[in-house]
Amino acid sequence: MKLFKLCLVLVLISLSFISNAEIVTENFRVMMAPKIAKNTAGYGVIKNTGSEADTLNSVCSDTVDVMFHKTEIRSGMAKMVHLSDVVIKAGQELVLEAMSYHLMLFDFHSAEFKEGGKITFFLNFKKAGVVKVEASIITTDSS
Amino acid sequence: MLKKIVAYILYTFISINMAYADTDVLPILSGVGGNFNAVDSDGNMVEFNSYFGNVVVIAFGYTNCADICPFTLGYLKKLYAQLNEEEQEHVKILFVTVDPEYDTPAHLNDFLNYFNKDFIGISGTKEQTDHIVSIYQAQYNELSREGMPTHNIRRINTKLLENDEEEKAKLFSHSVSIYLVDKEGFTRSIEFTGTPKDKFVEKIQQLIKE
Ligand SMILES: [Cu+2]
Repeated sequence: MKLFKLCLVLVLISLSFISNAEIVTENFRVMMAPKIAKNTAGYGVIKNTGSEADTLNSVCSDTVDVMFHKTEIRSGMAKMVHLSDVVIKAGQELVLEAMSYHLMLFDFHSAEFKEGGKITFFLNFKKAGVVKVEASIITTDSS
Repeated sequence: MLKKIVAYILYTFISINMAYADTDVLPILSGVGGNFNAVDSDGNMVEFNSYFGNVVVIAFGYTNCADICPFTLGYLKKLYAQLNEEEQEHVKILFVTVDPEYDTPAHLNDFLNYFNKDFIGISGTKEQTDHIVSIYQAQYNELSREGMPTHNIRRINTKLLENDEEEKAKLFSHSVSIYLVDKEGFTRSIEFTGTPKDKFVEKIQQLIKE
């Protein structure tokens, strides 16, 4: 419940801003995880179609615990890093995909998600404000 | 005379190299791998040497990994599907956990069945899994979620920090190498999910035929 409230507060605050930055999201999806796995990942594309750079400050959801992560591979070791303030320049896109940027979902199964279901995320941008994204829960990723 | 000798040496050297390139035998990677004792995902005590006679593919990870491990297992699933049934009978795919505390044999079994029922999970005591990690010259480290500087946590709620200890899934950094081991237990190649599947499959088939 606290999760929902905090997310809602953030959304309401951000909605009060108006900006020229334009953010478009595409193909957002969350990987269905085996029952035993507590965590899973979400992928998609975030495009900045506006004329100025924007910064993704945070991600939240009213149904699941989520963080913005990047998998980094250095000398054969993979590590997940929590990212802060990701800048997307005007006309550029940020691709969230396996082994790279991803939404990290914690304690996924506690919310009893099902394949074919949807999860709503709120991407909080510095200029564009809150961008709502609907992600489908899928089993296999073709992209 | 000297010229002749030099020419001969040069010729021998080149032909040896050419012969080597022709057969394209995968070299033995000495010092990587070896025997170990562990528990498989059926709950049986296993010794690595009991897989002799099979080509073995080994990857490290853990079930709460979310991004890397499901991707690696998805890759291995596709790779395995490219082998015919007879070839599959001579190949064992091993997934060694770096989190044996959470990844009991039963957990690993559930997790791997999601990808392919033939995949074998390797667990055991922490000492046993640490030994496997060390003989493969692999690495892992626990990542602390709470230890992250707060300005790096772009999550709005504090739910996780309030959860009781046992509910939390540990996060790890770990090696992403995929080890290809021959029928006699020698490591012959180290790959990763960036290796084109066709190339990896060819290497497996080559080792099956040896
Ligand atoms: Cu992550």
